[in-house]
Amino acid sequence: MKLVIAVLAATLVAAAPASAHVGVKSFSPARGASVPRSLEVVKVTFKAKITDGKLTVRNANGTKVSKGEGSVINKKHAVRTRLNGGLSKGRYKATYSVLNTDGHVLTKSWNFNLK
Amino acid sequence: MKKTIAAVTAAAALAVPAAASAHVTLQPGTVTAGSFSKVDVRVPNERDNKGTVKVDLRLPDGFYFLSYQKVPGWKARVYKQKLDTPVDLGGFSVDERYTRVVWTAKNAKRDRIAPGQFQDFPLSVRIPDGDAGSQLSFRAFQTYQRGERVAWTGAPDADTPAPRLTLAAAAIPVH
Repeated sequence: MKLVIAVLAATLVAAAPASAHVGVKSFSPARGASVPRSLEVVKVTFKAKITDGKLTVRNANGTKVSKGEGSVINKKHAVRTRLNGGLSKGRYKATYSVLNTDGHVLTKSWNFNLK
Repeated sequence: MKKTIAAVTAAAALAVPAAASAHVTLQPGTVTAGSFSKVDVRVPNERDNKGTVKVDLRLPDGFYFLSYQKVPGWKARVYKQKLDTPVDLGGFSVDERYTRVVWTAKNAKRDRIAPGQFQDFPLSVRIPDGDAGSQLSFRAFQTYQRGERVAWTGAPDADTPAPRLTLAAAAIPVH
């Protein structure tokens, strides 16, 4: 009887797919870094290839200060965006959203400062 | 004891992970549209005097994400194709699709699927979107030792039917 239950229980378990989330190799500027206001490009580089990605930068008020949605570069290993000119000093938040090669979407942020 | 065995057999017959039938099939045969699922390519050896040394699976359109589980003794090769027009998937752009996976026994004598055996070749994929009840038809080619090649490309009632997946309605999206 135990055997029967084991067999039935096994059939109810859905086979889980493999799922991986690509790791970050580097942020530019680095997380928490203070960089000159002349900064033009913000970039996140991944340890593995991604399928697609977006990157936007917002100021402390939540206003978007980067152009477009960013573009995928480095043979799909990085996402880059360009900043608007004339930004004031302060804290900025960069948010990236990537579609991993396994089909899963990952959205995360990091902060840096303009001085 | 007899009773237990009978019960176990009955339960096994009803079990979703199907027993090895005499066809190359995909297990489970029904999958949720748009889901991330593990699908096994189940390959029975159907000859008394030779083993299976190569399995070649051709995928229909719509497979944008795929990885394979390592099968000891077998080398897997995955083929992708650049799409003429990128596909939009939830705001992201996808520009290539998976077209083919080929498994080859590293050492035919040692690693073959021998008479009386079957082998599962597991894949992890995102199932294409589609209407519940619709079917995705694959093509598979099974190569035996000494070169015989069987094409699993037929209609459902053919001697060598193509492996198929039936789509079930998508549940509430979690991604």
